[in-house]
Amino acid sequence: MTAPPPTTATAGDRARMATFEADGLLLGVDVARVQEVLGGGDVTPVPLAPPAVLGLLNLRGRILTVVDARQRLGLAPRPVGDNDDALVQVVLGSGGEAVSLVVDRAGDVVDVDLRSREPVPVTLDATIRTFVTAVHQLADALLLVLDVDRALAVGGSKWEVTGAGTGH
Amino acid sequence: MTEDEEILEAFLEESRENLDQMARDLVDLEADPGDAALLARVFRAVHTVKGTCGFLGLHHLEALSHAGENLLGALRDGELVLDAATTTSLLLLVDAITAVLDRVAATGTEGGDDHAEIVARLSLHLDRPAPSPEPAPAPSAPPPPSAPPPPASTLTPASTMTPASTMTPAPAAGWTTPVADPRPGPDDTAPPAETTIRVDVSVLDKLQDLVGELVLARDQIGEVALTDEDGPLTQPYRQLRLITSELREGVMRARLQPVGAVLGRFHRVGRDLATALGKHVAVEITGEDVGVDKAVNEALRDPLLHLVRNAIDHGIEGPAERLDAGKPALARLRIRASHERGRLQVEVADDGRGIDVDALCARALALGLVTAEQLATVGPAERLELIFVPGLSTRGDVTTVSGRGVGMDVVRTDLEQVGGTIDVTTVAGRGTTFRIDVPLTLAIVGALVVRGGTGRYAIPQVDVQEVVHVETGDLGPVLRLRGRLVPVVDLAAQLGLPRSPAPAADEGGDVVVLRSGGRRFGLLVDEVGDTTEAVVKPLTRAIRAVPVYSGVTLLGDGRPALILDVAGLATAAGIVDERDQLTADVIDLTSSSASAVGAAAPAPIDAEVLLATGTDGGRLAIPLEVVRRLEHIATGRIERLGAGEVVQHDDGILPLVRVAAIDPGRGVGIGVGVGVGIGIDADRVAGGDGAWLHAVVCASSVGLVGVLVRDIDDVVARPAQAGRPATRPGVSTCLVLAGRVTEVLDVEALVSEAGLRSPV
Repeated sequence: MTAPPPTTATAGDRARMATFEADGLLLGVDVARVQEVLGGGDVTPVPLAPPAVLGLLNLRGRILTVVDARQRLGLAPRPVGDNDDALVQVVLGSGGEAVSLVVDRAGDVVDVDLRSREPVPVTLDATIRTFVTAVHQLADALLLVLDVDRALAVGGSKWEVTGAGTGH
Repeated sequence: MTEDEEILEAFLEESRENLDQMARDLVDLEADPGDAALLARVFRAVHTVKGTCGFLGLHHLEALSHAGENLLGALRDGELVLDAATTTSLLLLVDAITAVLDRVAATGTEGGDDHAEIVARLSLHLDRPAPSPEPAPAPSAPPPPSAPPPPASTLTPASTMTPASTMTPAPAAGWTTPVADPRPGPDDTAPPAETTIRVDVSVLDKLQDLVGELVLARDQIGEVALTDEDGPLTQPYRQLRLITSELREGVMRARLQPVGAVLGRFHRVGRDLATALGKHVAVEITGEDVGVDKAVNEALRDPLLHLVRNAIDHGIEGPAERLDAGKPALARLRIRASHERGRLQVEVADDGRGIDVDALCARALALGLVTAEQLATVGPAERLELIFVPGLSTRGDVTTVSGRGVGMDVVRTDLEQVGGTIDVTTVAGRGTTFRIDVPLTLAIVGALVVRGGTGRYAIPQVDVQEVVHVETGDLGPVLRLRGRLVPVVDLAAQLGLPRSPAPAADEGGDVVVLRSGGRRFGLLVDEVGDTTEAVVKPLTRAIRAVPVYSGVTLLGDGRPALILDVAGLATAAGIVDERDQLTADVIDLTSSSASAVGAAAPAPIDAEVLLATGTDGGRLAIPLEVVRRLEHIATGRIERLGAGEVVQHDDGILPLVRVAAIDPGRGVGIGVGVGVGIGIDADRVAGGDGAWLHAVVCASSVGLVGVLVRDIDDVVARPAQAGRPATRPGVSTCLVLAGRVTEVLDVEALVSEAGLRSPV
């Protein structure tokens, strides 16, 4: 996928969602939050950082935290030996800084009808449910709408991470 | 922000600067009341405030400044001569205006205080005209075409208690009252040429980021360009390199503001304080133009204020005492700022009585902050450093003892937080000088790049004392460095990293000796790289809570590198502050009823000890004050000499002793527990891989003696209280130190037990 066109993200009842995959789940974020999509890059590890932090990345002079989506969302770790170069980093703006979220694969930008919004199914794993605000049933998959700010607030208080598990 | 708000904001900022300048000028004027140019500048400052206030509808401020303007007008016209009382009144006016400005900034209103008292006070000066009986013909200068109402007429009605508000002319009057530049003197009217503009800091930040990227791009081009010395790119690249360097320097400098923004206040502070204390002090300030980053400037404010106050309050004597001491009654307080090696130095020097180091020591002893033994081992300069010890300075009557020292620990801590240092020299009867050294900017730091494990890290150079190469054999938890033992922290291990390619057994390692506050330690790294001017970027949110980093920078190859927070690293590694009362993990064995000594309560410390594992596997402690150095020796080098062991060392022979295992089976009891000679546990040493031992070389009455131990473990503080009685000769007491039962050696007893005699 190339960088999404900078169109208005929402128009009336419809929303444009950038999608990506992690551990077989289809995740979506408001397209306006996506600043850029990069290939797997040169990440500088940060010892002693929270586990979801893969490291730091220099993006044209800006320093970004690189966060592993699977680890952050409580999904199965990537199989060892997976080709890291095939990974995709989605650069998302959050709270005044940009964070790069490492996902398995980038998907399309999809138009969703906000009226098709459904609550988060209780069958979803508790950790990931913390980070998902709603779901949309697409033609061929279930799209989980990610709470970007919460998902990227790594290193915040414990409360932030686990406190609202039953929220939505 | 609306346009009005912007105007107000600009007015507030400009007025504050003007008022600062005015306060400084007034103090200067007091010293030289005849300086017409200065007087004109002060007048203009008040006039500008007044005019703008009228425009902005701040009528109270306008009235206030109008009262000042009247008085200053009279001064300027020679009707009055500036004396101390008048200066004080005018300075009070500056304070009042500043206070109102602050209130406007905070609440948007001028507040209810009409400052009638000050207005009255200012008016009073006008009621007692200058000595010259006939002021009318205003000296020399011809009356301007549109002069203000003749002084005499304005002054009389304005006198005594006229409420400020009634003096207020129509709001717009401030603009039209034609007093702005009524009598152009040769140099006093033209306002300083407009050589400065205001720039939003975010613009400068952006520029700085861009320059950072430019440098990276330049370096990447360099890699290509320099592959071929004669290539077409070489020359342009050199040019590019030069220009980018200068650009970077220029952008950095654009962020600097004159240190005078902070220093300038001390004319006023000094004057006020000296006046209040009945002392005569001339404050000399030089180097006000020296530029420094705004953040650093801010950080200097409180420490300098502290130093100036201390100097005048405690350092400088009263006039009588000074005369008795054969010094001029007028004391000098010199504040000098300068650039040096890319850093800012500020010196605060007084010619007062100096610091009584002996009294300082006595005080520190009385307070239990140091022990007599500790004092005995340090020189005068280090003793003087006691003024920076927390606890000393905050006691009530310290000033009568030390002459100085209120809150000096705070001063030091504040400066250290911005990567600064402070030191002090003093000469009894002649004065005291404090020297502050801070970086010019916090945005760029000199840094040493090191590799630990697989990563590269930047260490702020200000924390780096030296880099030493250590042979493999000497690598251990402590490093002996010119008579002091320094704990060593393995960077890779501290960060939880695997060591990258295992260091070759005979290569040793590099230890970067770091100091942060009172904590000194060595950082074992895998490789020491270049020094660099690191552009500091803040930590991203996700890693801000990790205590061992202070920021991020980009290295020449464009990869990020974490900047180590040396203080955080020291804390994480459990390094204790040499300056603090040590709170080592100590429990007195004798207090089996642990309630006697609260387990968590810090025990009083008398000295540090070196912890080692003896040749018999037991934990030993050797008082650090007798330890001279550590040697790593192959057991094969140990030779017999009579009944004892020795090792050839340098050109001499070093006698060796070891604390033997007590072996009840062999009937070795108390009294013969110290074995000298190879027999007792040589098997353990000589066999297998135990082919190396450490000799802790100690001073004794018979010269240097090496105490053989298997491992050097640590340096800890030992509590003052007595431990359990000794179990065998050569041991003074037993304690639990760092979690293990430890025998504290008495080297003197050990030596005599071993029958060693001094060399002839």
